[in-house]
Amino acid sequence: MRRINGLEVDQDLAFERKSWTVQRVGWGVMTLAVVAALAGLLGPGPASRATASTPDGAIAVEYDRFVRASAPAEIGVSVGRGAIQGGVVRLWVDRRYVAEVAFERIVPEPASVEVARDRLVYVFAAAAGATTGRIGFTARPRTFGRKTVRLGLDGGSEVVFGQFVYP
Amino acid sequence: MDSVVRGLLVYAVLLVLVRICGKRTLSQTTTFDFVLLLIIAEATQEALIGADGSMTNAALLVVTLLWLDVLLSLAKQRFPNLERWIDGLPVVLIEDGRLMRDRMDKVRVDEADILEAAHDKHGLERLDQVKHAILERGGKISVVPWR
Repeated sequence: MRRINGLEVDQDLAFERKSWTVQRVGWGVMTLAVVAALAGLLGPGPASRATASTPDGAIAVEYDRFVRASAPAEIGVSVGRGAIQGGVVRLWVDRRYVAEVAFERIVPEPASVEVARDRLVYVFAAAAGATTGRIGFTARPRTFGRKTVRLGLDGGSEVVFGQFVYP
Repeated sequence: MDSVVRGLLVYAVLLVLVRICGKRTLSQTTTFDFVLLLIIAEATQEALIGADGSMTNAALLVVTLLWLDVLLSLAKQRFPNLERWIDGLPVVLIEDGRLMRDRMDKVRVDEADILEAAHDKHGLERLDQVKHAILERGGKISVVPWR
């Protein structure tokens, strides 16, 4: 044990200076984390919001690039010209994605769901004369990491986009 | 498996954050420090428990956290260098009656903080009655009066 003017104390100023430097670097990292979170790089926020659409404009998807595991994330699908056929919208979602996230809520509720080999087809009833509409999915990712989401119109074009799920 | 991983991660994150913020940040010197501590506890609780509110999960989590604590204390005993980085070292703020301004600035302690400790623990009236003042590892200020 060191002695400073008769005071026994385990002081080490050289170490202390090092740890103060580390602390200040740490404060910088904390600042970056707060700024990144506000910007939406660590979860939903301005920089996270994105849209993807098919070339023909039949569907446009609004989603978040960055979401968090077990937190609800919204995916909004706007269906346009040619998406409503025979009074229904037949929207399919990749089965792998459906298995990895749990759909908590779908608005409007699908009239029926059909199971295909690699996809689930959600069938929504459309009002008479309707030409456009919006379907909202609330997904709660169960696992974290990079996900590729594929969805599209049954027998039509598809949209592929990526999402990163934070733990 | 999930709860053990959650326990490990939350323990590590909290340990690093508390250390980065410095000795004084959560040393409960003010009422608000205490309030902040409660809020942090509330905020981490959800991440620790997740959706599993079972007895097994709670017990497993407590075991994980305590086990880590024991493990870390054993490691600290074995490697003194690790102990320094995890717990820090005390800093002398008043040496033989002399205020060490630069150190006080670095650890964010002012005369009022030292006086508070002097009033509280020794019933001292003035700063010049203090021979030594030390910021201990846990963030408390110890005062040694002149004899």
